[in-house]
Amino acid sequence: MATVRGGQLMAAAQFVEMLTLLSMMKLSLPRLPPAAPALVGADLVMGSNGVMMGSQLIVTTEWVEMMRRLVQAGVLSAPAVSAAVRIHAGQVMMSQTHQELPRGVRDLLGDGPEVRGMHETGRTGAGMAEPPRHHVLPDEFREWFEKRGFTGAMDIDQFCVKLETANHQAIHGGGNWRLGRLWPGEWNQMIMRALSNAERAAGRMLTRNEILKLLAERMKDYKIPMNFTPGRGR
Amino acid sequence: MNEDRSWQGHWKLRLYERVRERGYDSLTAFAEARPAIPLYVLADELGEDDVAAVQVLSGLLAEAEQRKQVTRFVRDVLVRLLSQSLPNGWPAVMDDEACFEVAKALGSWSAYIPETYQERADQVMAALRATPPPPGWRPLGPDDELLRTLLPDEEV
Repeated sequence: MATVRGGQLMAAAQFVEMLTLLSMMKLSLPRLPPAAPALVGADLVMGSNGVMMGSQLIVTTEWVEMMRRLVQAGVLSAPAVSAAVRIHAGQVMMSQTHQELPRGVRDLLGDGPEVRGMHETGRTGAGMAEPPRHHVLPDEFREWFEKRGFTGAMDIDQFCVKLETANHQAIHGGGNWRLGRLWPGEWNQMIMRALSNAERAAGRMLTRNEILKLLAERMKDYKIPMNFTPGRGR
Repeated sequence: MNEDRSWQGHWKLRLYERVRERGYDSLTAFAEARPAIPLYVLADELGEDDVAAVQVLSGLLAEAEQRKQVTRFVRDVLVRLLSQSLPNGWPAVMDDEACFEVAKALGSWSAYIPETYQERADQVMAALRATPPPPGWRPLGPDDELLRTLLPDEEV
């Protein structure tokens, strides 16, 4: 364990030095070579706290805290760490909750617009997690859809979409999105009303394909992307 | 396709900004100048990747509530959905496909209007089934004669 930890520290130190070096070479390098930092990044992963994604540096509070300890121990100089993080200023995101940087982290990075502009984000905000998947055919009505042919390879789990949180909330009537008072516009309620009333108007059950056609039109009205992806959804 | 940004930022301000940019002082005026045009086309004209049709719908309803013209709004929404499903007007032959296109428009309409209109929407659907409009019937706006018979204004 100790040697592993030591190796990680060395990797971290090398990584910071390399970034610092790159910052000096920045004038001659139009952009960071994508492959090299990613490799270093792989070494840098301490637990799963710090990850390099392309030229975007994702750091965690733990990582910065470790840098702080390295500085205190004299392994690294504060300006080196600071410079390393500043290279990616504007692209650096803290992976955690959305809030101001912890005090120790701010002290270490120093004051400056780019540091003040940094904030902690969740894994999704940092681009480390995929946006959650959501059923467009409401899960509560699974049986209703099964009766109309949504079974097996065509069950409602096949019709999920990835949505960012804000869009998802708006589509479910959250975030005070609407303008008028009389129409909630909540997706699940709306789509089930549309489907069941269409059946009454037709005087028969809709087929699976007909349901999908109606669905596609309404998704367009909500600007829900038509990229279906299988999933358990939410 | 660009990433859609319809639900980001202050979309209510954006919606009205676009309406004013196009020279209208209300969403209703903007929509009335484009009769029987599907809602998503109106939305795309206001912002192809940052305005959604349901936002336009919600805005039109808000204005109708203020003007006490909700029934007129309800007829207008039906006109736009019918023209989207039946661009050539009411079908001459009610085969399976035509029946679905009518049902899609009517079902979606009932889901896009205030719930307090559900009963009247049911009556309209029943009336259209009992006495189908003439083939080719294509209402061009909320003042269509047949529609006004089926859904007369009630507001004071």
